[in-house]
Amino acid sequence: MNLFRKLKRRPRRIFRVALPLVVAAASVMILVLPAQAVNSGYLLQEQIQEYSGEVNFCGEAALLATANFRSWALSNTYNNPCSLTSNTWSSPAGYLGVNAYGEFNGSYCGQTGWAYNASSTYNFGVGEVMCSGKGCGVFTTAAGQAFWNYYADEYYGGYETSPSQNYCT
Amino acid sequence: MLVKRRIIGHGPRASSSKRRVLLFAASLIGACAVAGGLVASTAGSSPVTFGRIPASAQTATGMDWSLLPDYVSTVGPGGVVVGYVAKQALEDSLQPAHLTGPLNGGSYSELTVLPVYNRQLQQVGNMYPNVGYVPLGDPAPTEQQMTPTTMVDGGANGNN
Repeated sequence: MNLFRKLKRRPRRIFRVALPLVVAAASVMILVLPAQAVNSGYLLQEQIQEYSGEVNFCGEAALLATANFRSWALSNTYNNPCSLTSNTWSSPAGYLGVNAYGEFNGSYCGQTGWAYNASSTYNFGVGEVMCSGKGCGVFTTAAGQAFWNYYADEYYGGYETSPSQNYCT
Repeated sequence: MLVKRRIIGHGPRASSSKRRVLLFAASLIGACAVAGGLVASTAGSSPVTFGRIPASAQTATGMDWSLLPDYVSTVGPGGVVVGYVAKQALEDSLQPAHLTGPLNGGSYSELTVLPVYNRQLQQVGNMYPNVGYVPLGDPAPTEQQMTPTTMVDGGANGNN
């Protein structure tokens, strides 16, 4: 009779001990998992007739671990318009502008401010860890770009958002 | 008898009928006010909306601004909502069209200082680039503090 009771109790005891252990292990695994970087990929935003011919301007919104918000601008001539390696076009100083803003759980949490290339380049970016100390939640980058139009004498804009990512900051 | 009637006329029945008249007048005024408010709200501006950026507003090619409330919730230290920034100001801060150029490189962070309001639309602070929320009355950050530390000529590696 006693043996039967013991056998009946054991599963309960195991359950009591094992369940918190399983929960604790799962929590540790979640915390240990490396925070991932995500980006929108380069997206074609503007095709502008510059002094040298038609130029493709692309932009990208990126989110690096942890809560590092980035905006990229890329200039490229024909074919494969958003390639980082082929047909790149060196934009003169001030032709590429970038700005990134951050969201935390659907709320605005800051932006880098506009930055412009000081020397000629085909790929220019700005980034900042801006929204740290907010706790755990969903982060997203919204990125803006400025592309100088030589003949229109004004900037044209680009805009993308990154996928969302869970971080603890 | 007449005296009695007079006495009755100042009695509890008379006061209850006066109360009824007052109640009726008050309810009439209230109804008029409600009706007037409804007419004004339907004919004029719609109520100002406050809230978060819905996940559905984030699309692969950018933000669908039409889905955002008029005032977007803004977080300060610790992830606490400290107030709201105007949607239009937020959208404008990401549009370079108002700038004349080409600019000679560097940072133009001062263009993205956004006022933060409470629900009564009274300004309670500002969101500064790279710094975040600063309540009204606290010293504004320096230009150096507002300048992004990472400005990169990405070359072929500029994809993250």
